[in-house]
Amino acid sequence: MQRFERIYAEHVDAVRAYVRRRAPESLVEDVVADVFVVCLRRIDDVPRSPLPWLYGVARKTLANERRKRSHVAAPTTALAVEPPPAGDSSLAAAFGTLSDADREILRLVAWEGLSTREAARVLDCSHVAARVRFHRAKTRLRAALDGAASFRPEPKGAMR
Amino acid sequence: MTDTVIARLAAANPVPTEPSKRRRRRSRYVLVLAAAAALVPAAFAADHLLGISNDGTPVPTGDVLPGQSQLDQALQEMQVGETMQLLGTVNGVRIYAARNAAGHICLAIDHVAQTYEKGVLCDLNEPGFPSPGEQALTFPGRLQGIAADGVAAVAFVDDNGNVLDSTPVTDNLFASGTRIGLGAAAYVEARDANGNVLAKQKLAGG
Repeated sequence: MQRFERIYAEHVDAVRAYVRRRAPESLVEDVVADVFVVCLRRIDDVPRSPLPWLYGVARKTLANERRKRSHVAAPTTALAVEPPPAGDSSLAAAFGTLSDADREILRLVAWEGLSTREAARVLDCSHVAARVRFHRAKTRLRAALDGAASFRPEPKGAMR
Repeated sequence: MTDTVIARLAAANPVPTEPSKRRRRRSRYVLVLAAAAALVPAAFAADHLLGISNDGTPVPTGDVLPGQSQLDQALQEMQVGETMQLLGTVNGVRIYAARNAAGHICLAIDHVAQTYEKGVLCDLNEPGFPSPGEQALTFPGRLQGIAADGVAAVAFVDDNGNVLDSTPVTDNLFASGTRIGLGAAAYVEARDANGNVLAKQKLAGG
């Protein structure tokens, strides 16, 4: 119990932030709580560096929650409200064109501050696979940003 | 993370990482929601199982949160035992309590009309609830739980002392209908009938 208590105290804020970056506020409390239920139940499986493991549990919990709620929600109800990048509209637009998988690996590195090795643990894949995925996602984000820039409208009043 | 695209994305983080709170006193709760022996001072109703006047009525632990397998399992993990005391219902919230095998007080709440408003927690502090420094045991994200004898009201307050929510205590029980969310409140205050603060406790995650 003491180990669980320490893990909870040290990581609850990070797990909450992780969930907030990927889910509407109405889901945050329930998902965070569920993550620590799993942590408590599987305390012997939790690695010495628990944060990537907790993120991995949160990721699966979010997926389950979305699946569960998609069965009961009206078709027009937004089920997955992911906060976009803040304060940078062109980046937000480019980020929104990426696949879920691309967005997730970029978020793990840029927002959660994980290394690709740690991100691999969250995503349950090899380090090499995570590195490749990260590189490709980054390239696609850069391309999306460049594409957005090339379609920037001309300033009003410009002639020829 | 020297890459400019990644640096730009990092700067646009919609939920920036908060400063580390690892120096905070140790976690108060095992909190789980839809997720050891303490001597009770004589001043806190030592002849009562839970250290409060409201003894409740025993119910099988398996009947406390029917259909909530995760929570039911959590109660078992926390070694709550075969029975919990049903202390009463406030604002539609059933409140149960028990001492687990280690002597810690554990709570379960069941908002009978809601699917997700259910939860369990254990107080891990020493000496723990009820004691002079800990006169209310509440869920961090909602003002729902139990209070020591003599407590007339409880309140959530933030770091600046602003009251975020408060609710009266009846028969040692309280349940506000307001859900303020985890992390919003920094402290829970227990107050007597004159509004005097009897205890101010730091909340885990607050």
